[in-house]
Amino acid sequence: MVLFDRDPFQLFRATPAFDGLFCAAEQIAHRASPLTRSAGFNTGAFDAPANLTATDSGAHLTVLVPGFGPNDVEVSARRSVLLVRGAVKDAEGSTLRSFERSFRLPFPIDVDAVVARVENGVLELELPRSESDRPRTIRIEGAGPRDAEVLPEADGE
Amino acid sequence: MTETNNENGTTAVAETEAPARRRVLPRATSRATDAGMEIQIELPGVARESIELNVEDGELLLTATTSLTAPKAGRTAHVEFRPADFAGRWSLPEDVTAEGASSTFEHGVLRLTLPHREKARHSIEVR
Repeated sequence: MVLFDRDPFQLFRATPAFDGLFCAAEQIAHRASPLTRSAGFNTGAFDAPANLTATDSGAHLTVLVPGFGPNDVEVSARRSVLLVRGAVKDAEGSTLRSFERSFRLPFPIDVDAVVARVENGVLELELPRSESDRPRTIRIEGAGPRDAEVLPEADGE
Repeated sequence: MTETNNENGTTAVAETEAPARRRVLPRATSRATDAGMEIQIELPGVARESIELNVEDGELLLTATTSLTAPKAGRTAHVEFRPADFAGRWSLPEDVTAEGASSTFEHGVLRLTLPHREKARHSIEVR
């Protein structure tokens, strides 16, 4: 089972600001949306929605991070917990926009082999499963006519 | 009605065409500046070449396609967004114009600057 730890900013994930991503275009085809005039851009916490796909050999995480470049995103991992942080700062160094999310993966990952890429505001993470955690076949020695095989985990495909 | 061949042909085309991708309204914010207004539109996963931006009858029209695809292999363990293309239509304030507008696209965010419409100002001499 995968547990997504929602970040501490969850309370600030105001739905009106995020509705846009899920708003059906059919609704907007017939009438124009009003442009709201805000006091400033990029204020406060950002939601960074994510999709996770897992196979037996690893996981793939896609996080939407529009406005964040490769130098604005930081990823750290320890065993099966992944921490993704982003911050866009202005010239004076104050944070304009930020997010912080942690993900609990279905298995421990090989931290050294993680591949991360940010392009056009999308963070893609390849997370290989830790070698020591992969299911292995164990040969059973015995006097029987044929060897039995036991899988330590039953989720192999 | 009578042209059966034509009708069959049309049906065949409809079958081979991929279903149209879902389009969603991108998140957009704007702010007033001294020179006019700035609009910021979030388009994650969009390549610059796929953005079409027009101003028509005081409305800003945008379409863009994303490279994001739904995951195929493996088990989808967690879903927070569904990949979709973007389409938006926003009404612009009357005091800004597309003439002299400029835009930049970086890290999946489109930033658009629209200047104020030149105020038609004529001084009238009082005799």
